[in-house]
Amino acid sequence: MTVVTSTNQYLERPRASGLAEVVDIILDKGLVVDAFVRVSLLGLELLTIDARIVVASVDTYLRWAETVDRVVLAPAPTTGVPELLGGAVEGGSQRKVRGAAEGVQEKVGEAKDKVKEKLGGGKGKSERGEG
Amino acid sequence: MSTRPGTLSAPPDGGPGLSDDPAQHPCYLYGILSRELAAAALDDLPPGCQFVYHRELAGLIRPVPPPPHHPTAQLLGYADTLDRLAATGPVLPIRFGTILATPTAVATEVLALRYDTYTAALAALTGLVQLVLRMRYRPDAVVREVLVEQPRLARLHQRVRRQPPGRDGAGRLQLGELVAAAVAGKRSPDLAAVVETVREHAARIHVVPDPGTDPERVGDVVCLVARSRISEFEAAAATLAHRWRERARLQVLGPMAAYHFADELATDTIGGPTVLDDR
Repeated sequence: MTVVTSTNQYLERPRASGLAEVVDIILDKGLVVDAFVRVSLLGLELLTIDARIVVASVDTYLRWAETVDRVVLAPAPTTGVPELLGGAVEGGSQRKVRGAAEGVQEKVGEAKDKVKEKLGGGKGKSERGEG
Repeated sequence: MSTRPGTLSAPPDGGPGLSDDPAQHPCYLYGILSRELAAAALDDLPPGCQFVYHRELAGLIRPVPPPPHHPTAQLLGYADTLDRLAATGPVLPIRFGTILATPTAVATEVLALRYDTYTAALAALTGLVQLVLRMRYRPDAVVREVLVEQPRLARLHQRVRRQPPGRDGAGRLQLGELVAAAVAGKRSPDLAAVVETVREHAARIHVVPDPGTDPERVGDVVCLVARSRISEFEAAAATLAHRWRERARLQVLGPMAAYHFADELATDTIGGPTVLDDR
């Protein structure tokens, strides 16, 4: 069935579908049978919500900023300001931003742990964070 | 193996509180298919799975195991079972986690209740399978694109990086936010380009932009494709993957059961090719 042509090598085919590939495709999909005959939906709504927690924006923004650093080929100018001084001049707003970023990272960490707990024992458990 | 008298018919994993009679156990309903297809698949079913029939329809069920539950294993088992069945013919996947009181209820309260609807939906699904094109950006390439497209971002970066270490936090955050927004703005036209590429090879298409879990993920283009046209569908997708090789990764997932289309097939009248945007 898989016809291999020269361009086809650029179309990726994950060999085994782990949870990471599958979860978005099948959770909350499929035919919903009439609610009054259904006994339960197993409480998976909760799992769905946790698994899809939006990566906190602060964290994401800093990652994009790092990418910009990477692609702008010229290295950032070295200012010679030692680390010590850097700490001393750190302004209030900067500290706030950093605090917020850390708080958010903690939250994401907690959420991930929760998801892992819920998914515990499964095959493809922590494949999500490949990026 | 020693067998104590009187325990012969007790199920080995029957939990406390469950009746010994399997016909009284609650069960997952995985999917609906024709009696004919079910008969052909009987030998290939995973252990525990069975069919319940009503006239020409069959419900694929699996008894709910006693706790503890392992949602991941159950989810993967559900998908694997349905995908293998879907490779042999039309199957309507039922939403994962749907549990009915007894196997009998599957026949009397599901299959019988909307018999004509399910029969028509299965007919509409004949010869079709679901394929998913999943797109991810290569972050470096896409950031280069937005820096060229929006010179003010490049200028902002120049300002931010000239500041001494420890003083650029807020600026970096702003830069990151603007870059994220610029990248997000490229998703919609890029997903539209994926749709254009495969449109003529698919019967139905859903566009599912990524909810935001992964900044590199652009989204999925979920397609219902005739089994006989899978290779031309993939060839078209491969052409785009080749053209975009520097900036994006394109994955094809499937063929699989028509998870994304089951509900609409059972609710609407079947028309021509449709493109639906989930946003």
